[in-house]
Amino acid sequence: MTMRDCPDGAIRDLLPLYVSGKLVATEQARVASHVATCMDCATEAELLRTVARAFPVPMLDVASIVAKLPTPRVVPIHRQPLWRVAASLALFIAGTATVLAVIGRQPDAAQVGLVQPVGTQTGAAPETTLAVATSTGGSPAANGALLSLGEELSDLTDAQLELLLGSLDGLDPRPQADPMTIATPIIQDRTQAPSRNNQ
Amino acid sequence: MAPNSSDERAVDAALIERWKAGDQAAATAIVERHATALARFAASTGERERIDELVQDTFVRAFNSIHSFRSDAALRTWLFTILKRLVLDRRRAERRQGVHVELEPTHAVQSYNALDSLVADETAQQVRNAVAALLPMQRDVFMLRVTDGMAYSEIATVVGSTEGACRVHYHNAMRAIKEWLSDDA
Repeated sequence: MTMRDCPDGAIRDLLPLYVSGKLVATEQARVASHVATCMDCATEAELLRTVARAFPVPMLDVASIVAKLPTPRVVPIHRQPLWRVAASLALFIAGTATVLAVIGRQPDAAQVGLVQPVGTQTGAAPETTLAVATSTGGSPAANGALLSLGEELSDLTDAQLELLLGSLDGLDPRPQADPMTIATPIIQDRTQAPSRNNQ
Repeated sequence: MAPNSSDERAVDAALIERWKAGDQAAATAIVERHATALARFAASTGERERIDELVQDTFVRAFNSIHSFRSDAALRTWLFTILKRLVLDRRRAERRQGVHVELEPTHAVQSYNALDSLVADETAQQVRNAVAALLPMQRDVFMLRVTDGMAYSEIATVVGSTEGACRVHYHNAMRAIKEWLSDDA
């Protein structure tokens, strides 16, 4: 019996996978069409089938093999050590308390709009006032001009009261920005506020 | 090349996870999927006795260290690698005890006499003798390629060689078998 090698090495390389059906469908069809017309490859494929059949597989007792396998180490939740449960609970409580404490320290939105009068702001220059953008709207400049006069309403002159009322009418009640997004106060020159307000 | 290799890996990975979660039936499924191929490979390496024990030890060792198995690797390749080591360990132990005689080409004809009753076909007997006459590395590569359809990259992992070397071993083995059968005819 003389067997020759097909000159197509790539096909010969695939013959074992072709015989065992391990090729993708397109490859399987390509090799099959070659084998159908190539006596050398057909002979080699038959030899490979014979090899695959030639080695009898001893009978195996699957149940016996499985019985000797280790059991997976799965620990049910009710059998977990008590300290693990306690630690998990403590962690949850601590986390919750932290979140609540952080929320409790958030500045009240209504208080954000408060502006301290000139002179009461520690370290503030005499000619400037601190104006924080408020949730009630209006430009910081306008708010600073109107609400930082540093005097009681009863001490204001009629002209000042008219100016104040006129400016209040001009305030936009809608918020111009999310107060939480404004991190730094806006320092405004008090002397420039009226002129900006008049624009 | 192999169409379902990724699917096969996915199935094995899922079974392993099920077993880790306590599903013992998954272990049965894994054994059923791979035991036959392992036994056939063990037989092709010249092991004729206690093959079931070799296969069993392979699975026991694999499941004992399943935590070290990477899910992106092929379970089948890993199992074959373990089996290959067990075969080598057994041969070393038998050699120390003077029990085992390594298969040599001159012993090939006698080596499968015990299997004659199992496979009566004369051609099959010739083929077994031809395979037994191969060098051990050639034989392992050839049988993994032919009986299990393994990719050369997987075979290289099992036998501890390179993909290119395995390709050469396969074609040399095929040429040697053809020559053996031609001379025997």
